Amino acid sequence: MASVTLSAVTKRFGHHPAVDAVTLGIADGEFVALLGPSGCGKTTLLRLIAGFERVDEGRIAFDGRTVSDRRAHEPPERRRIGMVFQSYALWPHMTVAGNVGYPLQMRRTSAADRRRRVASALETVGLSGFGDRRPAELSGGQRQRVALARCLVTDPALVLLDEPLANLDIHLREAMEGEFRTFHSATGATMVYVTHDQAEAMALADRVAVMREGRIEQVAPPRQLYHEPATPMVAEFVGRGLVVPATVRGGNGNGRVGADIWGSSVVLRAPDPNPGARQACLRAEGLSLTANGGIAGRVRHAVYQGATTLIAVHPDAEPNAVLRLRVGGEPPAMGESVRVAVNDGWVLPTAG
Amino acid sequence: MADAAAPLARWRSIAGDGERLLLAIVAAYILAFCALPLGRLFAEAFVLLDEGGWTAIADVLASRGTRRATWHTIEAGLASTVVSLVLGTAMALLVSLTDVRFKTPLIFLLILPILIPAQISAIAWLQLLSPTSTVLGVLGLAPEAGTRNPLYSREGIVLLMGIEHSTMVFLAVRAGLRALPTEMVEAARAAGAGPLRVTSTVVLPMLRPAMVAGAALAFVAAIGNFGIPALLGIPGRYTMLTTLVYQRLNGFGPSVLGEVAVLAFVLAVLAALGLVVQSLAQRGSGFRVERSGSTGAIFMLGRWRPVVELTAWATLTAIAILPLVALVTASLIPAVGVPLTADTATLDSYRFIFSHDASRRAFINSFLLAGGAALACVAVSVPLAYLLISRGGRLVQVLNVVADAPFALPGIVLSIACILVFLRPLPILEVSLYGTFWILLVAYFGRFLTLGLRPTISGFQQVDPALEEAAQIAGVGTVRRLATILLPLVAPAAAVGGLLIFMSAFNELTVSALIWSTGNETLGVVVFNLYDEGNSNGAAAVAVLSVVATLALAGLVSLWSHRMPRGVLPWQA
Repeated sequence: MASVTLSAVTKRFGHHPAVDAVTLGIADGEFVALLGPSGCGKTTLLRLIAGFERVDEGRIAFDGRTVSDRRAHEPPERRRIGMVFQSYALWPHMTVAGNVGYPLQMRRTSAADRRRRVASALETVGLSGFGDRRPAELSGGQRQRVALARCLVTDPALVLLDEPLANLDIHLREAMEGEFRTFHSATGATMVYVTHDQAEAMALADRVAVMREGRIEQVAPPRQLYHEPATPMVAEFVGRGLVVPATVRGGNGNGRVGADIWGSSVVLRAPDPNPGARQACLRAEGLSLTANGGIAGRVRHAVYQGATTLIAVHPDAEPNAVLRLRVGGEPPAMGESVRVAVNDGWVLPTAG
Repeated sequence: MADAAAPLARWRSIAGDGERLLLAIVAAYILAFCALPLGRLFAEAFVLLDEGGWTAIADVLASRGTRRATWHTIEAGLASTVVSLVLGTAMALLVSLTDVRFKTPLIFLLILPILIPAQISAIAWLQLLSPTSTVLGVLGLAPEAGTRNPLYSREGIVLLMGIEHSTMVFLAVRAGLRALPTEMVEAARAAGAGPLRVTSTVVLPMLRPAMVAGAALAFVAAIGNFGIPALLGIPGRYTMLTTLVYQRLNGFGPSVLGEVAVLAFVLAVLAALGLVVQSLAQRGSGFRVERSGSTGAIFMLGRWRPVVELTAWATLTAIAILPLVALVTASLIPAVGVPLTADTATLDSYRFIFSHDASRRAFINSFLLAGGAALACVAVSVPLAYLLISRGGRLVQVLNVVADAPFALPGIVLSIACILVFLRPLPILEVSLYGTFWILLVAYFGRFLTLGLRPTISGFQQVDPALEEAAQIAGVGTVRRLATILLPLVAPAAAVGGLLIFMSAFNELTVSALIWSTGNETLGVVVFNLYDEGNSNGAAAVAVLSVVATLALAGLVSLWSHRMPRGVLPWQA
């Protein structure tokens, strides 16, 4: 059992807040991904949860029990967590079995019990019989599995993962993603997973927390994050959305509103029907070419992608903006005037 | 590694014509000042063999004096290595892994032995622990009058050499700790290991190569040390190989050259063993660093911090500060045994040394020798480092190793080698350098080359090869490229090399102890002789002045440290 509660957690390096008043509740057994560009504070937040950094303000609690606040700090070795590092951090002077058995040794497990549990952990990650090897003799994927075995050998209730797939090549990554999913459903452990790769976060997590400049922009299940981004940053960072100014005229019912984008009348999904000057998120799959109506613009470039061609259209009303959409068949020529219909879009909630 | 290799490969492809000229100059210098003397020493051993000198060698090796000195050398060398290892490792762990405060002054005190030569720290310690100690006298802790100084003993030699060479272990272990990925420690903590368990199960095992390499260097330095066994061991009747060579050559002159060459050879073999251990250990230290090393303290000492800090400062005060205080106060009293008060304080010792011909000459000689060695070594270091980085190849690698040898091997070995070569008149010129100023300069040319070479190499490594390639495209030849493009860029690093050479050579004793002559004294020799003659206050005054000069120079270099390539100043954090 492990739920994690972060209340207004702040961590400064010098005067710069790396984590800025973050509040987040993680339920027992939940898989939460911390997603964001480099320098957004996601790794610092994970290290605060692990106990490698002390909080400057706020409070961190496991199952309601405070582990970190301004005064008290429980060191990482007493937090009973499992952690997988980006570099795997396998100790080169120990064998695979030595690495995996180390956490048990620290808990004073008997030698026989330790052997049994190390063997079973290695079996779980598909490395039976590798116990006597040295980390240097293993491939990247195998090292990652050893790191995972070392983490699960103690059945931790809370598992922290710091960009564990960043050093693997692309197809190994997919296999390991599956491994993490299996691991999560088999153990029921609470997992916090740091990544800068949105596809990874979306594929694995129950909820994704998007971070920017030390703050959480939005916490939501992957589907909601993509379809209903809460801020312009989330809209742009997740799935390369385009944020455009929109004038909302009023609700049509069913969570839809009528609005104007660059003089073109469109229907958008919206969190509320409040009229006025707002911002909307448009994505390639919500746009198409149309013969009449829509937003007038010029084709600036086209990228052939096989089944479709991705084209970039600069609206006549705002030549600095770029509408990206995919078209099948023969694409329009460079510089040609086209009209873009908005079939789907999302009005961002008003700030605050 | 691929990233590091790529620019290197690019450097290698820049080959030129004037390169041969540079190579010829560099090779000639290294042959004359490094290879020739050491080669001559090894040849001497074989010449003796060839002339049926087996019995001569066997006689030397079988004599009771040799056997005892060899045993003492190994015994004191190993014992002091243990002291260095414990002290150096403990301090490196403390400074790198914990949150003790005031790390910069702590590191400075730990590095101090680099700037203060063995004979001066020996005198400082002797002053501190003598029955007439000006420092312990004040505290009422001085040994009883008339008793022998407790440092005149094996234990005294082991303790002082242990402290003196702990810097080498400290630097090696600290470098090892920097290369140790933080995540290795964090993974252990996440696994439930507390600070002490992490240290014993992860940190120390992973540091083993660095500790072995540092200990091997400390051992080589200990067996080659001359100042400490000479000042402590000769009165204490504990003879080591270095002091045996000195006593034999001093007592009987060049007639015993064959015999002392054998002793120097034994010493060189012992040192070579240590250097082999060191290079093997360094080869074994190649764990892959996948993330940069520690950015700060990992272990919070909490309520133990004041205790740990107090212990560290008490230790360093005792081993680094108090001896220097004793040295300074000894230079300010009118005579041995007079307590230092406002009334007794006097500059008489300083006045004495300025009226003392040998001391005055020594300041000039050491200044000229150190300056000359610095200039010559830097002048050769720049093209040699350039060839090492841009050309590579077997020949240049060999030159690099040979250039290292005169500094890596004990100074006594080098000076015996120089005597062997330069005792006989030079061909054509028909003059012997032995007994002149020039043999000192020649020995320094070989001895200190590597001190200038290392920073210059790291300077070149930090220059983008494209800068030279651009000049090459512009049609500039090798020598002019080196002079107009690269030299300005590596000049700060080369200058640091020169200053390191100056600081080491200025106070040097091990090399000059055997090859100085009247009129050609060095500062190290004068300090040693004054103390030997019983003028400990005068010795203290010369020592104080030369240490002040060195420290001032070190401070001056530090002011420019922001313009230096990273990691060329050994005393910087």
